[in-house]
Amino acid sequence: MALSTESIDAMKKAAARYPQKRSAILPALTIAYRQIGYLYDDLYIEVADAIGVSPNEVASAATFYTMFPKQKVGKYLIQVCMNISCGLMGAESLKEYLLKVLNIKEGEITEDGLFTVVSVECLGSCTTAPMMQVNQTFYENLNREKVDKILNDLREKG
Amino acid sequence: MDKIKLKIDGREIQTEKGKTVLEAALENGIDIPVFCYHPCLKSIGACRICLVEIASPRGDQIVPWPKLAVSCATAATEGMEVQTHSEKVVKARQGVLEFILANHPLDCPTCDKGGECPLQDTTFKYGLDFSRFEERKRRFITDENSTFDDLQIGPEVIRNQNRCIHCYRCTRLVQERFFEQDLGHYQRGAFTEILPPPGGEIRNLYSGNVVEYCPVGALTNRDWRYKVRVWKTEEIPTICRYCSDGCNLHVSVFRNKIYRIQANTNWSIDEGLPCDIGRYGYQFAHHDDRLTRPMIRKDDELVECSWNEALTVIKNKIDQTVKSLGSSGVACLVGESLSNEDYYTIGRFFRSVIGTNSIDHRIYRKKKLSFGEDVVKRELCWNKLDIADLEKADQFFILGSDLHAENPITALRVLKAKRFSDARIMLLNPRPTHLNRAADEEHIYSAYSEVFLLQGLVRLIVEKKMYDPDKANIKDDEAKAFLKETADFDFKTVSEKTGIAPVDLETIARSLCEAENTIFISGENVRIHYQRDPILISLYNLAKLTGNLNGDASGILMLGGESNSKGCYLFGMRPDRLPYDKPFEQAEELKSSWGEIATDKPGYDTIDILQKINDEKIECGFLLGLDAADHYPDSEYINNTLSKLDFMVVADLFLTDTARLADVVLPISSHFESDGTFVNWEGVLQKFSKSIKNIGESMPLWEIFSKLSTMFDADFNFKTADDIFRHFAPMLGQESVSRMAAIPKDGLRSEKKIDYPDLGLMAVKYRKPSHEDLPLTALSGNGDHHFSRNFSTRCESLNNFLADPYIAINDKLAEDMTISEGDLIKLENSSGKIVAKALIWQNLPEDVVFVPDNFIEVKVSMIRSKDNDIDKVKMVKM
Ligand code: SF4
Ligand code: SF4
Ligand code: FES
Ligand code: FES
Repeated sequence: MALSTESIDAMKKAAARYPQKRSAILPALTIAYRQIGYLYDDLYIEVADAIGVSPNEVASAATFYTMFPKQKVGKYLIQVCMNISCGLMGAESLKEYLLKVLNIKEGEITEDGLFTVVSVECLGSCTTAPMMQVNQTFYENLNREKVDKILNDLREKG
Repeated sequence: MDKIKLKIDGREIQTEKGKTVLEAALENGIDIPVFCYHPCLKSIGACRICLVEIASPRGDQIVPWPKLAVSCATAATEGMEVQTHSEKVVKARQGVLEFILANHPLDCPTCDKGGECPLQDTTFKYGLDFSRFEERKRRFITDENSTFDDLQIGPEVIRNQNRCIHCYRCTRLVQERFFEQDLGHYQRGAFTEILPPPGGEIRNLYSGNVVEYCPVGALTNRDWRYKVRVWKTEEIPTICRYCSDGCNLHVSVFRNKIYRIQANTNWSIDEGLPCDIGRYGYQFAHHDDRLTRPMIRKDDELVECSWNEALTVIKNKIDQTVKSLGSSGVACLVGESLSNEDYYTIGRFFRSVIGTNSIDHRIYRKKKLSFGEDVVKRELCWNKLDIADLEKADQFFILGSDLHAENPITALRVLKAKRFSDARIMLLNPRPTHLNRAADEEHIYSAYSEVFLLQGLVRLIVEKKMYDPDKANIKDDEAKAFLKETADFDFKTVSEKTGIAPVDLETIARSLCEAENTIFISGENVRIHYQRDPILISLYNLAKLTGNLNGDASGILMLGGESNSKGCYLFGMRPDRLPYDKPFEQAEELKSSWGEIATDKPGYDTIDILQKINDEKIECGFLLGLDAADHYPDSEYINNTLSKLDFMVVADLFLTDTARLADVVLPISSHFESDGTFVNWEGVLQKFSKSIKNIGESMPLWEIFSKLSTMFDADFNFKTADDIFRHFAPMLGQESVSRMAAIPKDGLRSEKKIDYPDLGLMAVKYRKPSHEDLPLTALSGNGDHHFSRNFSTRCESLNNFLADPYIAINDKLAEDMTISEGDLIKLENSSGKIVAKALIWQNLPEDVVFVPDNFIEVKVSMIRSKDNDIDKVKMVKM
């Protein structure tokens, strides 16, 4: 069992809020993701058991949403927006820069286990392009200096 | 239903309110291509191929819609004007096809769907001859060395994701109609994949249907794949030989070999969704075990012989027996999946040529029924509802029936009622059954406590006055008398005996009284129950009390049985009835064509026949299409009895355990090798057609007995099955149907529906069952994807779902005895023992074991004894 009792309880609570149990799939997946850091096949079965739906429904929903990582990622998941506005404002070279200073390829984890970089579609923050999201936080109007600082701060936090 | 008028392609069309534009068009023969739409599924508008141009009235103007609309998900409304083939529509349709084909591999030459592919046909009809897409097509690589990219996603289903056009018919079918979750869509966009859930496979009982629903070759059947091109095969209509639902099927034949079976939609029965048993259950026909020549016992060994020799021996032995014992020295037992033509001929032979009425098919019973064949039971057995009526019910009370495994198509209607009108499903069984996936309530009662449960419910309703006295037509004094008579069935006792909590009993009683229309369904567990009649009478009481006795969507169904169990009743395969269920008093008509029939007294039923064999009063026995040694619930007794026969003829497709005991074995043809008719549980007579030549020298039974008749100077002269049909057609009561060819496509439905008579409340008695003093009760039924014996286990595809026998036990019991799944265990009692692998089944009661009775190697009949009402066993770990 990968899920903690707290997570399972939280999922059950979430499920109780909806007239249909399957409505609780996304909230439950979010709970699982927050605890484990990424999603995988066996976890779908655990989530399904916790809220009383079938693994099929859980896995379908989970794989549909690209925002849930499906592989182990670093402690800080950096999602760089590559869509139109950010693209026009230099997202491509920003991502290249990130990968270079972290010395990884997209999707990989840095040796210290801290970072993973992935590209994503529009995150709804086009007016402050280019931007990236680190775990739950938006970082906007980015340039290389800002990126350096963000990385350093995160490294310090560990 | 409100009617509305609209115009499609300039034509005035009338349709019902609530229908979609597509449905209105299709009903009127206007062709609109579809991929994701299917009449059995809810519309989702996923594929966009059904786009049409619509204008609808606003004020006194007809205003065009700004965009094209998907006709499958747009309701038809009054005054609409629809264009299905305008320039704009044609162009858009071509665009949609261009998009769909952008990623479609177009590997038609190696695709099994080619020739019957909606995508191919629609492209042929509406598509462009070029594409602007030059990009690489998406590919889901499963094998670097082959572009087929096949992936087996279930025992019989192969997926080629490259071809998938994301119509979601397959997953909707599985989830919406089957209430299963073994197929889903994963990932998103162009990379959406159709897959079973992690670690699983698609293996539900209806899984083969997804292949037919797939409008491309993305899903194919393992049995049919890469074997033959569809346009080289001939499609021949048939009827399923397994359960009593009577699905209509199509056999695909090429050079005298069956390659597959598909649905042949009969909307009033199967809705085009047969179960896998019917779909893959044809493979026995070409099995190596098929008998090809008659055999005769010489020096204690069965050796092949000619038909002439075999029939001559039979003739001589019959003559001998009749001379020494009279015609009552001859008896005949038949199986329940032979054709009506067989039954009619067999009946005529034994009754008129030999002069014996000892004919029966009820081999599954241990004892005689406690009551005679009185009116209630006769009517109860008559099932006055049709399959389609189930859709209208708003509640099902399913008791003692593994409906899912016994009548899969009836189960689908129950599920349909749940899906589309939110009907409630109450399941009451001595063990969990798979219909529980959709049940609102499931109660597992202590095995063999049905009488307590039902009479207890009846009493509870009467006592608490939950019923509506007018609807139920019950007077106060009647109610009082009933309460007095059933004093032993008080609430507490009932709860104790059944193991169902008092609050649950009360909930069940309340829902029964509250629902408008309840259908009561019982099945095999009741059919073979030592107290079958009290159970049926109690069901009758319940139905009466809750006002559900005689309605369009309420009543009692006694299901189970095999493909032609009803035919057995109708065509006189009982000692006391003549064809078309006529009593002996009405024999005159029959005598005019049959000649003399002995109608002074009924013959012996199964139980008496076996007794008379032991008493040496019957010497010559015929077992036709019936593996009695395996079916009869007491191996030892039946084997001993049959071996006492002086002369025993077995006719079957295989050398069954019974056939091994025979003096003469006759190879019979399967229903694929002859025309004929079956009657399903509704009473619908349906015809099947010969699709392949007889295997070896085998013959259908009707032909064998017609031949035999000539040796007795009674030439029936039946050359074809239709000759026989013509004989009994007048009895069917429908003048227009005098030949088999005149049977309507949907089958011959008798109009006659007899209402249940009102017989008042009838108290029944509980009789304590006799049994050995052992800890476990042995229950049996169909294993997954199998039905009955000898046939489904000779179908490779069905064995791919379940090939080996098992003994299911409760998890606690397993733990106590340190048994893990797969360990060999033995069930034992004074009748015998069986050994199989253990399967751990969580919700099975602790004092129950379940053994599938489809496997010859593990015969459930070995642990059964006719002298015990219940078969108890003890379990040993090996
Ligand atoms: S596999 Fe076939 S039925 Fe299923 S979504 Fe794809 S094309 Fe449709
Ligand atoms: S076994 Fe019954 S449900 Fe299955 S295909 Fe045959 S008739 Fe239909
Ligand atoms: S394009 Fe980057 S946030 Fe919208
Ligand atoms: S058939 Fe209408 S959208 Fe697919």
